[in-house]
Amino acid sequence: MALLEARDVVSGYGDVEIIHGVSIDVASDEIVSIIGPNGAGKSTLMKTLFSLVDCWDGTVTFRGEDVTHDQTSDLSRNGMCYVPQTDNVFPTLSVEENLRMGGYILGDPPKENYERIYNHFPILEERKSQQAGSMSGGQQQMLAIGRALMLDPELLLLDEPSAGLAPDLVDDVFEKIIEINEDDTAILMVEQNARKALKFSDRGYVLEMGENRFEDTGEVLLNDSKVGELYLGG
Amino acid sequence: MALELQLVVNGIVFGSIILLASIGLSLLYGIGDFANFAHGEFLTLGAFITFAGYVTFGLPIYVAGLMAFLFVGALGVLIDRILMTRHRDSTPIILLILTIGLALFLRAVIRLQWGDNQRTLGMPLERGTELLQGSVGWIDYGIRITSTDIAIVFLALVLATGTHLFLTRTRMGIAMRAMSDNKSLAKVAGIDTDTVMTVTWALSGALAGTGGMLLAMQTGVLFPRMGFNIVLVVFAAVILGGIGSPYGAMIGAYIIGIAQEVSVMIPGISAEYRYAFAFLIMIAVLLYKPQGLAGGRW
Amino acid sequence: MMTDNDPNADDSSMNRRPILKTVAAGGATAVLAGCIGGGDGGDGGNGDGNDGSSDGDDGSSDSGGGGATYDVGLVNPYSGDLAPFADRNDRGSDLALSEINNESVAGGKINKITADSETTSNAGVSASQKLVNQEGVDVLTGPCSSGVAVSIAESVTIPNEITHIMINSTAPGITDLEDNGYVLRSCPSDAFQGQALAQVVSDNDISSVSLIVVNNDYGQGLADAFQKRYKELGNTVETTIPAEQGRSSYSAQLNEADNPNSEGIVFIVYPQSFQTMIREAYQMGIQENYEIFGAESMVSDEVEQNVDPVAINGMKGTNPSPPIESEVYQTFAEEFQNEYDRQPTVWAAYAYDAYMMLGLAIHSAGEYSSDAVANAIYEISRPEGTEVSSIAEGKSELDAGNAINYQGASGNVNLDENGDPSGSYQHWEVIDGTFEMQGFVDTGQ
Ligand SMILES: Nc1ncnc2c1ncn2[C@@H]1O[C@H](COP(=O)(O)OP(=O)(O)OP(=O)(O)O)[C@@H](O)[C@H]1O
Ligand SMILES: [Mg+2]
Repeated sequence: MALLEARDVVSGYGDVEIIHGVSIDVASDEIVSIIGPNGAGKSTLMKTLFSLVDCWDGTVTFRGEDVTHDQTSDLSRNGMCYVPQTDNVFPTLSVEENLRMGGYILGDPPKENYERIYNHFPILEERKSQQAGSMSGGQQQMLAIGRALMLDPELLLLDEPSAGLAPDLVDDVFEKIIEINEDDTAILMVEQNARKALKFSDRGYVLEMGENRFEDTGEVLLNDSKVGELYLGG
Repeated sequence: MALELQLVVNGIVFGSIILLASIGLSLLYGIGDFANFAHGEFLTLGAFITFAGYVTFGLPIYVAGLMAFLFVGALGVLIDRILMTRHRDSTPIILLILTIGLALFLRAVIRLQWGDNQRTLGMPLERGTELLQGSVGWIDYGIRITSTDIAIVFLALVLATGTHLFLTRTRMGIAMRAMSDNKSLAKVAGIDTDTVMTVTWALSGALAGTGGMLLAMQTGVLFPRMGFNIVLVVFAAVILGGIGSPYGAMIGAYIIGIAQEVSVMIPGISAEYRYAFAFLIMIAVLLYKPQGLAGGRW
Repeated sequence: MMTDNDPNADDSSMNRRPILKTVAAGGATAVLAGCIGGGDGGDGGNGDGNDGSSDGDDGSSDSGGGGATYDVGLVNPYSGDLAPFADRNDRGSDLALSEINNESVAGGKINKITADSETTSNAGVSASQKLVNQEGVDVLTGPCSSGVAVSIAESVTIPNEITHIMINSTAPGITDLEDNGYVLRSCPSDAFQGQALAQVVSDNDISSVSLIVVNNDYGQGLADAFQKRYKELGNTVETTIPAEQGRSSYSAQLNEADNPNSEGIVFIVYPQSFQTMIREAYQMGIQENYEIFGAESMVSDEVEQNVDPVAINGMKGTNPSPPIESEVYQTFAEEFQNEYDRQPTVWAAYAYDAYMMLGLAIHSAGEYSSDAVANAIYEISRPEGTEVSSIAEGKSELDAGNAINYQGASGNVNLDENGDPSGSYQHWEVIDGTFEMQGFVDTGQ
């Protein structure tokens, strides 16, 4: 049984259906990537999994329990955390305060939680008193991931963690993601840097127009000529 | 024309009175995204609770002030739980009408309870102590201060400092700032935004209630429109400081307080126009810094 | 929880309903032919009565026929800044009404319908509109504040040709209203008081003053009259500082008044603002350095009860005063004392005289209509006629075909062509926190 199982999920905004029955699995030690063209509904799917967008039909189970209509805060408490694609830090809060808010539902998070984050991202410890909004894009992305890790989740949902970063920083971020995964956190991420992402991923899904198109291991997808032509820029 | 330091002192006292109301108004705006037009009535209610404690029950003035702090804070909680919690996602115009309606309702309750006539707090009258006397050049530094003035400034600063510590040191305070930064991210992070909003109402009410007590101590008289009469100045301070920023509001309160007192020294500006002058300052600053002094940050 | 446990309110029977009717002689039910001298009509004292809409528009002008009811409006500040004045108007007018309705005038009775002006122009105008348009009154009395009175005159009574008897509005500007004779008053213009106050300040050897003035018609008018007379007496006004009502602080105004060239400060403001001002003045040490004077507006229970005596002791000023030695006044005061268990103020006397003149005017005209009252009221108050001071006397002289000259409780109330009576004033000093009258002012005019 997979850690996360989404079955025939349907959702959207208002009356507009965006996701038309998508199924996705993530096992407990996996890195899984979702790729697809702009507007495919990747972010919407992530928000649906995290209950930020209502799930109209289908089911989502997490650790074997039906969490389709759980509150966001309950999902966090039970081990699923999410990093939005944009605006994912509190800009006027210091780095440390951002982390503290990540652990809000724990009451006051213990020291070890901060230390774990600082081990992954030493730069955050150096800058812990700095206002988040005044940091570079890469550092903010680290902080956003760090904030979500404060609860030591079993599954981390990342929406385009490398968006807008310089190429060498992109590699840094992926390295960190692998590191986090090795620390027993499953990763489900949406990526535009599809080639790089699939290289690191155990498995991948291709989403288009709100539907599953392809699904296979990262390696197979990378080498599939059709996927390569259509979604990986040739 | 001489710069009379006394006017600056008067401005600091008046600034201290509007300080607490300004912080609360700004917090509600920053965190809840609406302007609370009932804030003037919070002040009035704080003043009348102080009256009830001090005159009706004969309690010491600061105990009466504590009552105002607690009572208006609790009222904030009630308002949020009963009324506002249903309107978390309502449009600005609905929230505007809602708080205006709330203001009229609260004023009606105050009138029913305490009547329309002016009430007197009746604190002992005290002649101001002459601290300094004389002048150098064009600065007249003659200053007279009463112990009430000192108490007002002191209390306002203590509460402002307390609010600062709350906002920077406690989990709830930081959550309030986080929510003001980005409400949807706050929800994603698992922050209980509903409770944060309730606490914001409580804090905002408690501060305004205490501001009402200070207002009553300063003027000595109470009437149902007393808070409404100064709420526009409070708005001016908040907007000057950068709406939504409590720290901007603190600066704004003192700038407005001092500016409107000192304005009477400008030839041709009569005391009657000093509120207008406060708004002139506000408009001038907004022309130069459209987002207010805090420029959209805290 | 909504009990009114108000230690300061000077009358617990004060009623805050927006419109209520005082049907002094039993109202519509008593409309029986020729019920002269019927059941004693004196229940009018407590401002309570039929509430609302029962008897609307009957008999407002059925002239001559027995038992008519004449609806008269009273716009009164039951709430707001001048609320302390409202009861005086009710008491004075009710005392007159019990005499009028006991005797009946032109065979009918006056029915007073009250409405709250809230001491604001907006509320005052809408209250008056209701009285005129819905209740159909032909004569309107009140309100207090001159500013409100002028608004009502300009937008309600003059355009509707309703006779408007002002009771407490003393602004000099009212004299010059273009009113076609429909606006008159039973209280003297402040032009007279401004002169008296200037005289008092000058007599105290204060030759330069700062004025703090409520910025409305009342304050402006009184200040102008003061200034004119004060200068004629060879003195200077250093500054005139306007002050808005209801402000939380007047430190800036006081600071401006704190002018080394001034020897005194004259307050022409209302009791509410005055309480805040005088407290701040004391904190600033103003009383140490200046002689303090005040207009009649602060002579009130409110100030006596709420202001610490040390802040106002020694303050001097003027107050319109009835001729307290006169027989008319003493009779009035005695009846007032019997009815309300307190001494009347001059304001109650003005209200009393307004209704007495109204009653006599109706009887003289033989009918009740706005025009009839507006014409007759000048005639019954002019010096040429036989002096009368009660309804009974007036009726018998009028019925005998003689002209009469009503002598009021507040003075001789000889209305001039502008509808203004001349006034008499006492000067006062605050001694041990109370306003003590010190005798009449000789304005030398
Ligand atoms: N809040 C919203 N309300 C209504 N429609 C929305 C909303 N957010 C997104 N959409 C629409 O839903 C569709 C899918 O958007 P989504 O953001 O899920 O795509 P995406 O695959 O994440 O694209 P990108 O690669 O640009 O991030 C788009 O047509 C978009 O316009
Ligand atoms: Mg997206």
